[in-house]
Amino acid sequence: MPEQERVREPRGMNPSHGTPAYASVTRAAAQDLGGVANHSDAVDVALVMRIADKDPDALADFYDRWMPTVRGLAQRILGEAADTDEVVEEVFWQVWQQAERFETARGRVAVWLLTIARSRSLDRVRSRQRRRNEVSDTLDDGSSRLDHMATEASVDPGEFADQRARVAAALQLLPPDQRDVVLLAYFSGLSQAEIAERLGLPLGTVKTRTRLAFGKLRESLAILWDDES
Amino acid sequence: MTRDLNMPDRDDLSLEEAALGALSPEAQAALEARLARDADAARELVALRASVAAMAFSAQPAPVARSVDPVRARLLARASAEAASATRNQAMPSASVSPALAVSPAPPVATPRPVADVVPIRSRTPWIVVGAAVLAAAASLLLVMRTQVERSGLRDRVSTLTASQVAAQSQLDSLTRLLSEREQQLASVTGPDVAVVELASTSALPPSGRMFWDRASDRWTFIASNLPALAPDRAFQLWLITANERILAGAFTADANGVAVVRAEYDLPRDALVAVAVTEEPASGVPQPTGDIIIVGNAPAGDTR
Repeated sequence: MPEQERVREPRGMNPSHGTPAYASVTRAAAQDLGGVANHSDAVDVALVMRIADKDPDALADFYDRWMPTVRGLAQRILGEAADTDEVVEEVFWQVWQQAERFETARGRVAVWLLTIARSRSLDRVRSRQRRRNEVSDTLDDGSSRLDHMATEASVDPGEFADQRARVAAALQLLPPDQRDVVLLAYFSGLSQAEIAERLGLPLGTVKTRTRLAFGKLRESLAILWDDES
Repeated sequence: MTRDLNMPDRDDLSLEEAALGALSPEAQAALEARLARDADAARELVALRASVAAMAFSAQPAPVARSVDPVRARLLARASAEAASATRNQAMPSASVSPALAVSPAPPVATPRPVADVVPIRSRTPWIVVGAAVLAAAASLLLVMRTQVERSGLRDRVSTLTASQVAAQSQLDSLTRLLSEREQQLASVTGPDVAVVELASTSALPPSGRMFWDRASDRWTFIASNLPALAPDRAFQLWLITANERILAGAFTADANGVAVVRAEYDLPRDALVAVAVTEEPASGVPQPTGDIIIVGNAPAGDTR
């Protein structure tokens, strides 16, 4: 096991000043601090309920709360393309249209929203590829760029700064070969077979790395969602 | 425990690909059939989807000032227009919505009747019956409209009350958590079994720090002052140093006055701590110290209290 995988970390780190600590935490700590995730999700649930009742003010609040994250994700997937605005609008319009179908029992608002955002962004990339009949620059990056992608979310003081820091740290603690696979799958929307071809690896190796990586991420990031499974 | 031979192995499920939305339609259908019979796999998929969604936080956020955000303006205009349209439709039900006012289509006529057989209704129905029908229709219209408005109002009230309840519960949870944190913080620096390690600068700079280690509860409270300002892509990391390893105790930045407080919980044997140090590192974090030591303090031998 590489040295970095043996790093042991205290739990429940909670700086009172500056930005929050970002190291991953144990599942026990996630349960201890689950209220943080619950509070954040309660805010989202309340907003989505009002959106389902067709309250434009609620949509405005929800947009202000999540737009930087959604736009950041869209930009990462699309590159600096001008159609980022269109994708962001599509995402929040889908929220407006489908809020009444959202069920809290099936997951968190954040998971629902970010899944929509990623799907709409990848749809746009694929549509663009079909139109141009060429490989998009955003899908043509080699693994040499992946380290940058993994660590680009520097600590920031804005909304969800804690989540950003924790995810960045969790990715940083993955072995590089596992991290590359995860980033290609998530940001480039590549299947495991496509990743195997891209990296020149056997499919089984990619499957194993994906499983190991998401197992670690799930453990590290449980605190974000108060994961009780 | 025997395995259901009709169920594929976990390795064959491709849950990670499903969470990433990368399955073919056929594979997705097969997986959904399996999930309907396998609650454990279904739960695992939900958790994996959450981990996948969290990856979005690794992208740099891209805020736009509200005053220059065309998307926000367009989106809210569309939403307001649709909400207004929906309100109008609710308040003014069409004839087809109200059975009492519905205009029945003419029934199909198999054989045309001679014109002479059509008797004008006026000649067969007393005028008072027509008047009563009109009044009944008007009353029905008013009743339907009033009921719709009342229903809309009640829905708004339920929505508002539910949102208020959620917000109040969130506030209560937040205050309870804050109180608990403050009590723990106080106990962590004043408890009977608290060890104190002084940290001082190794350079001409004046930063200093103090680590309180409550060995009874394994709580660590670190307070630093006069820390130097950092570049945006840099952060401090706090390390617990033992004879065998350097343990990451947290990453942090200081406030505008150079003050920072870090709290952590970590179970360390009483005689294992050799020193406590703060280094400057990339903001993305490092698992082992690589940067300059800002402050460091040795743990006193024996009882550090």
